[in-house]
Amino acid sequence: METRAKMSTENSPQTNSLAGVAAARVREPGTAPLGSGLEARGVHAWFGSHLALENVSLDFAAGTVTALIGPSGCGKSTFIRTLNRMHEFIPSAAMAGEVLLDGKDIYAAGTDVTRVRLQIGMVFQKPNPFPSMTIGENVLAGLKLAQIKHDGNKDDLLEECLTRAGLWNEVKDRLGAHAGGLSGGQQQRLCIARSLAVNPKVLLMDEPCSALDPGSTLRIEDTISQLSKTMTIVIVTHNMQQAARVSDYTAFFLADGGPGQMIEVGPTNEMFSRPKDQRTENYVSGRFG
Amino acid sequence: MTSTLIERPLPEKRALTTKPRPSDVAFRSVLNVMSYSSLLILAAIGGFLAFRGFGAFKENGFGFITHAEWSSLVGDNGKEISSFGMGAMITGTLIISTIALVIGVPLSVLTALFLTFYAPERLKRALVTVVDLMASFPSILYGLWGFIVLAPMATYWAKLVFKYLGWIPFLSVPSPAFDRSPFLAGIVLSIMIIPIVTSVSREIFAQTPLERIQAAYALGATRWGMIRAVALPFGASGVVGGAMLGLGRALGETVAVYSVLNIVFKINWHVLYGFGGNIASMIVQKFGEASFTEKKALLAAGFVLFVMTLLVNMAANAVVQRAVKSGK
Amino acid sequence: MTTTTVAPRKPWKATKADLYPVFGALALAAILDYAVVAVTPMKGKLAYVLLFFIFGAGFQMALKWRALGRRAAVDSLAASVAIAGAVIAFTPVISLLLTTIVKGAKGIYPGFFYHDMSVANYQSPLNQGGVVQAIVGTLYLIILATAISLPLSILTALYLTEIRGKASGFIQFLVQAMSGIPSVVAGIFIYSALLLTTSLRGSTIMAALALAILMIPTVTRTAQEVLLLVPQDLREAGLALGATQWKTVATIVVPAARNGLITAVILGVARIAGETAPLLFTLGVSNKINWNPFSGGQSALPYYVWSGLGDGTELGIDRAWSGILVLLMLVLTLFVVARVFGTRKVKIK
Repeated sequence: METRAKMSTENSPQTNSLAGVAAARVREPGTAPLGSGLEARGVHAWFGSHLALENVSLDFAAGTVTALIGPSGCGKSTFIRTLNRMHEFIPSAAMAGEVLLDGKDIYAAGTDVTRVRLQIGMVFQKPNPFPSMTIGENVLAGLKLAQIKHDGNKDDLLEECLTRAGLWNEVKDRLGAHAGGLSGGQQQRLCIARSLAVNPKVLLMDEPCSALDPGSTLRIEDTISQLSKTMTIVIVTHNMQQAARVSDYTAFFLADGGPGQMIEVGPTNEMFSRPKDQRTENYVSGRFG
Repeated sequence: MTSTLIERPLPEKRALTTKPRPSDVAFRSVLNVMSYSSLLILAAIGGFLAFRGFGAFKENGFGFITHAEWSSLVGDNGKEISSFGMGAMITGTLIISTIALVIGVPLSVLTALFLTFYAPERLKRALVTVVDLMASFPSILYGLWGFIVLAPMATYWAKLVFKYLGWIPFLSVPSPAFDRSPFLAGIVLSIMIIPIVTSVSREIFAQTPLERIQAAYALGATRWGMIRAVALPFGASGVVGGAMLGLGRALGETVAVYSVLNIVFKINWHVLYGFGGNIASMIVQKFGEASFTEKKALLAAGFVLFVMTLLVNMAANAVVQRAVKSGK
Repeated sequence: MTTTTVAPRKPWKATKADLYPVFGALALAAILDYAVVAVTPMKGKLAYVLLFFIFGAGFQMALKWRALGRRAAVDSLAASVAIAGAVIAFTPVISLLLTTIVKGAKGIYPGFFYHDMSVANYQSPLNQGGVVQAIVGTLYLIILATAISLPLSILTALYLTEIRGKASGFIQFLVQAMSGIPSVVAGIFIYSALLLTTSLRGSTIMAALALAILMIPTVTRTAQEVLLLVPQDLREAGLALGATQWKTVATIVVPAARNGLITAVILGVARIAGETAPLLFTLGVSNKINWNPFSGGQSALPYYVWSGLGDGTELGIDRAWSGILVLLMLVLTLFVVARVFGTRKVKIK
């Protein structure tokens, strides 16, 4: 099992800013620049007049993996979609608050939303490779869509992305085959490789393993661990064991008859062993949800 | 220790039957019989037209399809000398239908894309109603409008096309007669097929899987990038099916073509030049004063048209069904 | 739980400030358009429209390129092309409606609706003669065609939805094939089967037969869709009470689908009300009302228009426009009624 970052065992004061803790993390040499991470400040989300998410502030330090947990309907999927401006595709959607990438609000007027999405990638719950393209074309699809000129060799990039996603050995001989012939787990790793090709700083994952078998799930969790060395990852999961295996920090969401709120956030092992809020304690000990 | 489980084979499945009540027997029989009425009608149409027109096929042989000449004269001895050939009719039908597709299908696809991916909800609903409305306009309205309103404009455009593109063989004209040309008929037909091609295309684009659309956007695609990467590949086969349905409509159009086109029994490849015809309009033109033999030949021509449209429509429906089902 | 006083925003929606450059660019395109047309030998409506599109789309592209780069400019061009395509596709409808109303109104006078053409011909002044015979003829045709096609269509639809026998796929295929029959073929079929070698002559019933052939596929398809919408629970409830299938269908399913079936019939009628070609072979001719549907010719609205067009004189064509106006009013009314029925929910007593 991958060793987790060594956390300070001191009980830091309950703040939502985790930047200082992240500094303690050991970084591998020669990794890509991470930027200064992603920060959500006072994010609210509406569907029409229904307030679905209230006042969420979270700081995702660069190079960390943060898990968002909570029972279904608590707003964690809505929240993650505000982070890469996918929430606005719903016609009645509205939001308030700011989301800062490298210190700049992605909702500011005049922002090119397509550029934002190149820097903040997303992997979805149901694997969705493009069926009209081959495996190789799928991985490079992001480059084609964004019309990014890739300075190096395209084949090298292809191999790199598929290797990082843990899929290279299985498909290296059939890059020209159609993506539909892969298994569910392979398709999801293909989608991960596709997201990697545009070199995002942040990768958002919305329950990426919930449609997969346990074997594929573990392989993807390995992938996540590897990826976190070079990017910031936010993963929504309803599987607490997965959160415990994979993440550095965990945030617990709950909608107690009203809008969804973030109840508590902290380093993962603390959240599961000594949570500060009673509701968190109830959830992680399985009393509900 | 021996196992105490006894291996027992699965029992046989039982037949599920009922003794139906007389009223139900009657009900089902009636429905059974009535539903075959469509088969009966189709067979009757094909049968009668072929039967009546058989003489024309026999006498003219294969030339009935290929020869361009259609004449029925009374010779010196009072007997009829006739030579019937559908060549001009068939090429005319194909030329006009092709023009209609070339103009109508791109416009329809653009409209379908606009309605599905660009138009705000309220505008979209209003425009969809307008498209359905267009589909219910009588063809004689298109004919009258085409003759009075569109014809002068089409002549003007034809002159422009000739001026700049007249060096292309089929766009040249032997003499400057641009009125009532296949070009005009093709434009009128293209307007008539827009409703059906737009409707089918729109329905298929609306079914583009949301997850794929979101995947494209999440990769940072623009709206056009998403359409190119996801919507067009998904909808391509459905659009082809819709275009084929439009073709089926265009092949059989009668009064609109008759009203705007100068019907002459000669093959005309110069689409800007003022004469032409299609099978349906030629049947209408000749029928009134036709002799008995000629009438039978016209019925034979109708049989050919029937078979053509039947085949195109069957193929079109198969393509559309497959596109909708497979949800590629 | 706190009550929030934060106001919802939609920061992705285009603000007024974003739209000013767009409208400004369009205005500039219009000005440039007029200027170019005035200066160069390009003339005519086509020149105006084409230049406006080129300048308008070009300026939009330039704006986007400056703000967001090349990809956004291409996206903007694609949007301009899609909008242009839709505008071109919808322009004929407007022209059709406007022309019909403007030109048709000329010939409409009160007597138009109760005089017939036995007292006038197509070259008479427009305040003589009328279309009562055509209206009655069209109504006759509608009633007869519906009477013939309705049983066949509904029963076929019931076969496809209630019995779903082994032949269903085949029958479905046939119904769709039938919907592609050209109207002229239906006309000459009836002619060849019934009129060519017998002593029968063109009459209302003959034309109604031809129209029924065209009506059946439309009504069957719509009826089928509507019957499929009836929830399966209703059928199961009836059968669970011990009713026969026939009783279930007759007393539960069909009434539940009643509004939709009415819509199906109306759509079928709208389909055939304007058909001209079948009438030319089967209807015979008449310039006044013929109350006997089985013998003697008849007039009808499409035929009235056709005759006016064929006459070719200015007055004849004016009459044609008036006739088509009446026909269009009829078709539009049917269309609206079908919509209303289609969206009304059946009241459960």
